[in-house]
Amino acid sequence: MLKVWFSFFFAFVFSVANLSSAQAKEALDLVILETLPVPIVAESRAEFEKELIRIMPDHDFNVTTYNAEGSEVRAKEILTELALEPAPDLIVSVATLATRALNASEEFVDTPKLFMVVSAPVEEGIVPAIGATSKRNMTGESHVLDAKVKLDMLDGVLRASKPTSPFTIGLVHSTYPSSSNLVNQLLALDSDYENINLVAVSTPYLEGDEGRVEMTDNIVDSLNQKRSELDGYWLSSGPLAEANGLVEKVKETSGLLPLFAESISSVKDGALIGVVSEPASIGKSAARKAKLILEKKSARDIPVGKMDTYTVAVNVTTAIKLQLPIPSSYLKLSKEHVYH
Amino acid sequence: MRIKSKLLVIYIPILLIGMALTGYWAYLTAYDSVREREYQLLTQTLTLNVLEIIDERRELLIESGLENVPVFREAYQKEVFEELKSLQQATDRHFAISDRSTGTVIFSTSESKVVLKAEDAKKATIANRRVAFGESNVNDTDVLFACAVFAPWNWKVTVLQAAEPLQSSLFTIAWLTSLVTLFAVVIVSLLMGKVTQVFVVSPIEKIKSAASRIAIDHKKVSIDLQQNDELGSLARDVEAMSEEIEQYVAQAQQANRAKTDFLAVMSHEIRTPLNGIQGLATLLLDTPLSDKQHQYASDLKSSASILATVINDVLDLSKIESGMSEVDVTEFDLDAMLNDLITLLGTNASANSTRLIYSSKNMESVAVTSDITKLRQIIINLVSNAIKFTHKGTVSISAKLKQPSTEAMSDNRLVIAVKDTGIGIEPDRLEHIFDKFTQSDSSITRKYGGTGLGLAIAKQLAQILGGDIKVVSKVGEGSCFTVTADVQSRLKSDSSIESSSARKAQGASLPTDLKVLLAEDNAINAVVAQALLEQLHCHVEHVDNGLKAAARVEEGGIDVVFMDVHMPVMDGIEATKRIRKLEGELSKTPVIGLTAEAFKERHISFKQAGMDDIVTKPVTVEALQESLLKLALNKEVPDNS
Repeated sequence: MLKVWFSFFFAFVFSVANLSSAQAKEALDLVILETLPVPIVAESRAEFEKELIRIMPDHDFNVTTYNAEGSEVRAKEILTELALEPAPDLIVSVATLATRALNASEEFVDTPKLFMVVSAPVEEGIVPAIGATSKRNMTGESHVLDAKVKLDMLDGVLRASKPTSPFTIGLVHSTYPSSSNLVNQLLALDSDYENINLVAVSTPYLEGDEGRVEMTDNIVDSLNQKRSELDGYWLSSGPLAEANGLVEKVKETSGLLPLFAESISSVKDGALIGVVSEPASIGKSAARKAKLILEKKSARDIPVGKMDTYTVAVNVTTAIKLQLPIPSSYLKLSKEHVYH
Repeated sequence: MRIKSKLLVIYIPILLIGMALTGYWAYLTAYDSVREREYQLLTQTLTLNVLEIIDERRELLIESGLENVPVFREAYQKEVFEELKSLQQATDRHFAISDRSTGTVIFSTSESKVVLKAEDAKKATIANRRVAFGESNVNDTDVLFACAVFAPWNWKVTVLQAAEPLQSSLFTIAWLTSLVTLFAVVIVSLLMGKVTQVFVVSPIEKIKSAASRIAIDHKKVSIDLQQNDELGSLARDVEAMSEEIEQYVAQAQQANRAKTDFLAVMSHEIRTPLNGIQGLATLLLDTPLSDKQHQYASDLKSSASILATVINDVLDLSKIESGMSEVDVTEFDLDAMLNDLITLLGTNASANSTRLIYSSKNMESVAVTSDITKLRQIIINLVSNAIKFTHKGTVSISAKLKQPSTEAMSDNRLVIAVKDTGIGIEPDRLEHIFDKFTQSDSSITRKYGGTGLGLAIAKQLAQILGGDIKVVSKVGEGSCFTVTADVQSRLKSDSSIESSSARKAQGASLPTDLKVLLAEDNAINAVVAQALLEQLHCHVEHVDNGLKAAARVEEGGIDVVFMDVHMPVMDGIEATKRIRKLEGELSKTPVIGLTAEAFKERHISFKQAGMDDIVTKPVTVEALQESLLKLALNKEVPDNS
């Protein structure tokens, strides 16, 4: 009888032990290094974390987020400090400057790395071409549409009004890498579009919140000076696009309206049309790649690509004002992003 | 026409009509179906494409709050026009939009003005839209159209399509239907032909083949037909019928044999007394008689001779008709045979003051192989007939072979024509001239005599020889009978055939003082035969049965025996066998049979028993002499009966 009781006791202990071990989650260390907490960066990062937890429910994530404050130097400093600690399972860089610093870091060559919210990974030297893999153990996706596609879309809108002369459009940008890269691409393609005449309107990239305010003022001034030459302007990507009140200020000072924008908020503020990757899409897509890496697929084997989900937004008030009817196909694509 | 051909000749038109009707019905159905489909496509294009294109933009404008923004509305209407242009290029259909109220054309992909006669248009509701559709003529071109109203923009939207492609496809359908119909007719005809062949024609041919075998062999047949239908039943009936026919034929053959036996007996029984009458009459004529007595004896002999002829004819005919007349083929000199006949019948011709002429074409050098006896009888009958009906005229005989003869034996066709300048034959009687017991006029029998069997016998004999007899005649000018027969011929060598002249030369040396034993039970016939033999300078001893004859031969001193076949105590056959069993030269004593039996088969059996020759009763001095001559020539003798 005693033997029977012992048997039951050991069986119970064994079962509880098994159950406990089955319920224990594996802990993973993640470091997120973001360039600066502008909306697209912050929202993309938040969506990334949320999606990763959702798609990897059997893991506990110890996420440490660092803010480079819009400075590549700061980003490098953070990485140097991080190198003194045990290497995390994955380092995620958000936006171009942080990604540039991470990619250049020799301390984390063997640590898998993932980037997001980087518009030009090829120009940044991460990979030689879209679709290629990185030798520095880094992968990720460009979140912006091809410059040609953007020009095609704008040309479609402008062509519908059958203009007699080309629209002169100021290409508003800063010297922030992604911004200047995109502008260069657009200018290179300009001659292919008879309805579009692009004019660069630039300001130096200035770090920090004060820098963004100063950049905004510079642009407002520049546009105001060129108001007679311009029919509108193109708000390029980068920190400047995330600056508060730029569109309103330009409208007040020069009366110019943005014809194309790289963010939904700019369209809301009055840009005629915008094509962007939403932070939710960027974060979710990056989470899926992170899952692959955390499941032991090498980042060296995952090609760097482009996002396949974009959001079209239109502002019909601007369209009416400019007497530029937005083609029905774009209006249809905009769905819930038709702003008045 | 064969039954299969007949059936196909009947089936094919029926199939053609049936298939044509079916094909026409299929064409009409396809025609309606194609038209219906075209209208369906047209109305669907209007409702699901054109109106959707318009409605989609309007909905978009409403959703975006731009419905009342002219620049957007106009731009989207232009988009509609552009899309319709693209659709026109893609579908080859034309689209027109007009103001519903004023009828003003707002847009059209057609360069010419579109004025539709839409009074007869049908109406339908498709995708919750009212649509009118039908056919019309626009600028001398037949078109199919569908139109609907787009009320929000006060538009009347029309879709047009040329009717020519539809007509073209209907024409194609008509052609295809015709081709398929024809193909189906051919295939079905072939199948029906095959089925008919297997289930109808082939069984019928088997039954026909069986029936043919029955007609030829009169034997029971077995038909390989396992069908359980009418034809199978027919086959079983034919099999049963063939069994009955076989039985009936067997019975008939048995009856025929009985008849033949009867004829043989009758032949013997009639000839025996006739032999006596003829012989005695001949003998009587050689005795001293008064003129009147001589006339009576002469008439008696003539009457007996006529009676013998009649009996011979009747027996010949019976033999032929009972199928007992077999072809006995030998090689002979036809030219010599015909010359002999001329000599033989020349006496009769002379008695009628008629010339008998024979001519031939290269027949002297030809040896012919055929049944000489039958051929001789045919010619005798025809020539005798010609002489009988020709008074103070000419009877000419000509013979030729159709093919030239070579040294090798080859098939040939013998043609012998017997032409006379006699009384001729009425045309309406010509066709019956070869019927039995028929002469051209009943009065002829009374005037010229005869049984009327001669020509019938001659014709049947010619047919046995693979030929026939044809006659042409003209009343008052004469007749020409042409005999044909299948023979074999070759160019003869000098030694191959013994000519009749040679035979005559040898026949002249008939031995004298022959010691002849006459075995004859009938006293009268014995008297006659003995007298005739004595006329041939023979020493005759008479015995009245075979036992005595054999005993007498055994004693020796007998040169030749004339042995009657039917005798009491011991018949001639048994006696001959005994003689052949004697020792030494006695066993080789020539034995000549005397019999009233006229059938050749019997004569052959007598010879097989040991007799050297057969003389048929009533005996004549010529027959006795010829038989003795044959023996003297010491050669194999053919039957001369």
